[in-house]
Amino acid sequence: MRVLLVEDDQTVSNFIAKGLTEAGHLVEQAEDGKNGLSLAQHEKFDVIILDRMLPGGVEGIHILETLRKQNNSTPVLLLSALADINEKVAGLKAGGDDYVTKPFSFSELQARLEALVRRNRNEAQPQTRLNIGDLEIDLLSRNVRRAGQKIELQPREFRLLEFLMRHAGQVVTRTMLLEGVWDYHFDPQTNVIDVHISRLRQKIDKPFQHALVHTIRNAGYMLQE
Amino acid sequence: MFQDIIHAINKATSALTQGDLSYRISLGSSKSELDDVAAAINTMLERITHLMEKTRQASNTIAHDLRRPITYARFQLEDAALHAHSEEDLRTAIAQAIKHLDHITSICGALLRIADIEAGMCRAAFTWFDLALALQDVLELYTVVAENRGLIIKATFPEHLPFYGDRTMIQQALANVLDNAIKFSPCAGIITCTAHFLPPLPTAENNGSIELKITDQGIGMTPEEMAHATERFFRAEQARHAPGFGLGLSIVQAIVQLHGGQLHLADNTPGLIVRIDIPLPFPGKSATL
Ligand SMILES: Nc1ncnc2c1ncn2[C@@H]1O[C@H](COP(=O)(O)OP(=O)(O)OP(=O)(O)O)[C@@H](O)[C@H]1O
Ligand SMILES: [Mg+2]
Repeated sequence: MRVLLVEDDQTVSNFIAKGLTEAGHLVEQAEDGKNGLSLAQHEKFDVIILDRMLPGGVEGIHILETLRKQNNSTPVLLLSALADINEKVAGLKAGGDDYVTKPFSFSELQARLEALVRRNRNEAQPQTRLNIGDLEIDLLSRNVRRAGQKIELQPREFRLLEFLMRHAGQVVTRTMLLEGVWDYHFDPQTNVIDVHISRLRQKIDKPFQHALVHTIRNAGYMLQE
Repeated sequence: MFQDIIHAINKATSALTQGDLSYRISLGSSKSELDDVAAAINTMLERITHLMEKTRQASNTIAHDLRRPITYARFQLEDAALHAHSEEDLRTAIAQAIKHLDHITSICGALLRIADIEAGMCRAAFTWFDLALALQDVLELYTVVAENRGLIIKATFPEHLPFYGDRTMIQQALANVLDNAIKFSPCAGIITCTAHFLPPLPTAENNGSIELKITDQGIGMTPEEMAHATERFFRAEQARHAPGFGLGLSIVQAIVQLHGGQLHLADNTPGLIVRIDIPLPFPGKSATL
């Protein structure tokens, strides 16, 4: 994918650019808000990574608002040193699609970027059924089947599975699950997510030949055939 | 007479300015007005000294507690640089070091969060919401963790509980308390979580209050430990083996205070009782708590 990276801290910028390039993406770097805005307006990107605080008067939020006013709907991921939840809300209100606080792990950033780009592509067709391999879920009747066999899930387990299925083939981090499935926006201290995943595995993987839920070391989980 | 007072105050302030925090105005034997003023100033000096000492201690502990994960990360990396024999060794060491750095991030995050909450700015985001639903969500997240350790969480609260405050923060407070209850319980035992509305007393200026109570049957705390439990970085002797930084209850305390409430700890023989009382405002004049 084509990524515009607007970040004034050279160390952070180069670190992200290197990682994304290595993962096979094309990265365009801008050091200040003015350049960033002009690039965003004149070229087409799959996603924009935008630092909230930029030198030279043109703030990240300002760029974002300007783009949205011009009906530019490129997904935007905001980067910020401010962990404050109100800051996050303000960023999302201004039209941001996701928000990552520094310091972050590269795998967190990458997972979120890929989720954003995918979501943007998928939004057109609303789905009522999701499936991967021999696992199938019906979003309307809330039925879950694997290899034709019906599986009973608690409502939250269903949401967890649905989230994983919507991101099938992608890494999903623990924080993404906490936010997306539990609407939880703070550090839960213990690894609650791991426990919930292992419950889900008991039901959808254990009784069957091969596993669909995979642990991705130092990153999170992935649902994959 | 007045000149004496002014002279004494002058001497005391210049001693203080020069960094002598131990200077006190000497009190005469006669019960003169000078003595009253002198006593008042001395009390103030006492208080300043105490506050400065507290601030000094707080930054000392912060520095100290940050040093630990920094030391670990440093060891890990240095050891790997000197002795790693394979790429595998190197990667393991680096992953470990990153974990320690993440701990530092968590500590800083928690400290900043406490500072934010104490600054009181978040009060602007207060709204009315259903506490029962908010608690239910957190309980659901932790019940599975508790069950995994052979613990049962018994929750009792009404179907709806109108509440005024910050939803995310109240959830975080409950989460931190539950996390402790699970962490400091042996495998097996019951954790209870109750919440209910207490109607206002005739003389009260609030509209009643909410009492939230969490009990466990774990290792518990001595009265002495309870007195220090909400201090930043405090961890009781028998708690040191468990993971954590001693910041969970400091956050709870800050959240409860932001809501104008009170946090009480008591003995559950065995175990701990955590009670949180939060007053409710009258609907309408909701901004002032
Ligand atoms: N339910 C409990 N039972 C026994 N002791 C407790 C309980 N809750 C807290 N404590 C004691 O109070 C201390 C402070 O608790 P606090 O939640 O602030 O820190 P922590 O749990 O050790 O670390 P953190 O919350 O940062 O992960 C604990 O270390 C422990 O000694
Ligand atoms: Mg704790």
